Amino acid sequence: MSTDHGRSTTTSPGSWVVPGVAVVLGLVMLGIQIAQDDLVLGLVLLAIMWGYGLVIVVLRRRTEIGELLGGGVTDERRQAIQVTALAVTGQVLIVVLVGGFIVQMARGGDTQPWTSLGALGGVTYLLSLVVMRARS
Amino acid sequence: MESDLDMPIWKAYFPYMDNDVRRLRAERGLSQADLGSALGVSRQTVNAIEAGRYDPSLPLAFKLARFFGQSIEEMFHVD
Repeated sequence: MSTDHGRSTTTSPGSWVVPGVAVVLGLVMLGIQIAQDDLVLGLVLLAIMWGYGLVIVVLRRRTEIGELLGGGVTDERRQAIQVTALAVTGQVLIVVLVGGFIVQMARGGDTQPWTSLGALGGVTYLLSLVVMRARS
Repeated sequence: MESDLDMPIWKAYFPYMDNDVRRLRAERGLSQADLGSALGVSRQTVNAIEAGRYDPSLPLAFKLARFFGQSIEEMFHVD
């Protein structure tokens, strides 16, 4: 009988999305840097993005954190973990946006980037509330 | 029945239920991975339920109860 400490055995069907996005983004960054005559930085960015994708591919079969980083939502607990982690991330970003806006306003600088991002976040949150309320 | 006021304060912050999943699984000689496969969840999720770190949804609780031939009330304990 197997023990309770085996490796993760479940991988979500969409688990290639995050590594795939990392590969594509790496190529996009390389293309942009080549267009700006900075091949070295482009190769560095490509290596970083492909390395991130590779790490996820390797880790996701060995650890649950790797599976979650790869977007794994194979069951309800992992889905709850993802939702909670995203909510915490969103709350941190809200604090940063509000803080950045206030600091920039106090300095008398341009607040437009902060207000635009804050407005996008606020509208997204409001729409999410409306949709989720209608669905539940 | 214990009222909310009688409940230990830590349960308000960690309101997870005790359960008999580990005992029932062991009695049947199943691993956590075996049970997870039967229920369509990960081994880690079975472990979290057994350890009381995660309360399953109602559908999953029904699956668990039916798998072991018990009622939800028999498997999960509020107190």
